[in-house]
Amino acid sequence: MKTIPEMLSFVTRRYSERTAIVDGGKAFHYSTLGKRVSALASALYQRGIRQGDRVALLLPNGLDFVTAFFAISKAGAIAVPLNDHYQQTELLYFLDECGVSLILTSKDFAPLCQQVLSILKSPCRIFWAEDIENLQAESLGDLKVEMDPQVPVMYQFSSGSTGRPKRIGRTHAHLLFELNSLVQALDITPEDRFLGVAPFSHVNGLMRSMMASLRAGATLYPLPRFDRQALAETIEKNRISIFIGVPFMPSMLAKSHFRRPPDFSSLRLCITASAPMPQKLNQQFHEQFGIYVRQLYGSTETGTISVNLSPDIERSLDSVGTPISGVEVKVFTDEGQPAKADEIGEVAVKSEAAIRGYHGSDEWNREAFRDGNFFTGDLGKKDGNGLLYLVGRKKFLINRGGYKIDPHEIEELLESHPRVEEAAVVGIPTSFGDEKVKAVIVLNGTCTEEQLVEYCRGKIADFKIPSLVEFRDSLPKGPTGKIRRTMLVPE
Amino acid sequence: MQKNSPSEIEKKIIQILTSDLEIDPRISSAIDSETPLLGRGIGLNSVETLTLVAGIEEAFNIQIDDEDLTMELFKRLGTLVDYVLEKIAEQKGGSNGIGHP
Repeated sequence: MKTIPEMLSFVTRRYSERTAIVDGGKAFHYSTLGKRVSALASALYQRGIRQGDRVALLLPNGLDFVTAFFAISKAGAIAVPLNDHYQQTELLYFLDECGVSLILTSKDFAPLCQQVLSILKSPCRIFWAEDIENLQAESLGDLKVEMDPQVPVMYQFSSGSTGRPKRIGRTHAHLLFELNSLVQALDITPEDRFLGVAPFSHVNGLMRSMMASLRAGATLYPLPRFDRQALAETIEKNRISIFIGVPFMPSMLAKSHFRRPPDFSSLRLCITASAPMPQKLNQQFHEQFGIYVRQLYGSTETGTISVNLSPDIERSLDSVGTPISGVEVKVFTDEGQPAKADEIGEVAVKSEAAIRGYHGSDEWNREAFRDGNFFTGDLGKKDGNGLLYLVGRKKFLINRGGYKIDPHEIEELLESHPRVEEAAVVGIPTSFGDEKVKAVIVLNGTCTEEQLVEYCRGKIADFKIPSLVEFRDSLPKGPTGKIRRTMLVPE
Repeated sequence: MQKNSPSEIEKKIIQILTSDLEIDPRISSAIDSETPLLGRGIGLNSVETLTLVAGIEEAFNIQIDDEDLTMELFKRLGTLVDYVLEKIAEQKGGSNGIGHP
């Protein structure tokens, strides 16, 4: 199989009578999923969607998201999964940047989408996910589109440390290479039951839960949002075997008070990615639920890089493990030399699942893509056993619950407020291993913290809105006038 | 002062806001039962509301159901205090479920 539609066709034939997804307590076989995808792909084609067209996906985790993702690829179009917390400014940017001609969304997002479409310059239509159900009765035939495995099947975005988010086009070949390696590394079988709680719009939830589960013929239990009791109940009741999320999730579960301890004995793997998992909370999670959280390392540019499957997990909790099959990881010193064991340097990755460059960002491409490697901007080291440890970042980004936030995006918005002269945004470490957003503001008039927070609301996603606002008379700057962000973060 | 009285709960929540969420003491000292916890108040986001909830659960030995975490609950500190009082009373009765009642 060389393309995503071919993969779906393979699994729907091979595992046709097995359960692909259990959504809202209702089980859907692989054969049913295949029929839903075919019906929607034909409907998209009938509505004028053709090869290379861009279709945005604005939906929570669930059967409709899965159906829509595969239907878009079956129609030969490019899926643009968007975070369902995004607000007007963000949606406008992504729709415009990708030239999206159709948004596949739910009526819950109708007011926001209609507002955005009334401003968007290029023509764009809406397809309501609620209508997918009715398509199944229609006889639309099975759409077959010839496609090149080397063309993009999905656009995602990477937050840069300067400028707007950069577009990443991952091809059918990239995704299949990553999935095959991941399924092999985690030894995923059709008997596995996956929890799908990390957002499918993000590379972590999309590739490591939704796609990995379906690639292996396993059963996916999607949850539309992180709800501690619903999550615990889903694991216990359905004997979930694999739970892949972000560190905030197991950390919160470890700190939560349950009426009685949930039974997580069915879990054979609990994995987090996108941010460091604090060791103390990992120990607490283990004490309560009998399993350690293992760390996985990946990026939107490369897909999954490594995972800690060490049998000696107690002694390597902070490690992101060793590379998965087909991935090479090197650590380079500032001088560009390979780092020795335990020497810190920038992590570079070579993988067939990695992109070769950002869309239309030549300057960034020269810096990030060199000698067949992607330079991640992460600082790390390898120990004597080859286990990789991440220790920090070269690029300045804020990690909020696994979402990478470009501080410039928030600064730009704050500086558009008439009373703000200058703004600097930094990340303040939290006990969950991520960071909260802090804005340091120089005013040119009177304005309160509450007014600034309110100004941001509705324009950017909730998780980007500053939690802390500090007013200063001036910002610390270097001789070139560049803001010294490190001086704004307490030691 | 009686333990778990509304004022005791309010005091404890403000303490959690200061210690677990690191709300500026200048702001937390001005919080009263009418202060909104979202939006034009403390401005908590979704991650922070869950952190606050975990702190409350630990402090009062109660389970708070995530499906109860509506905008209405965080409309003002007083609403949250009333809810916590209700939960303390309710969970004295006991329950075997881990999920939503």
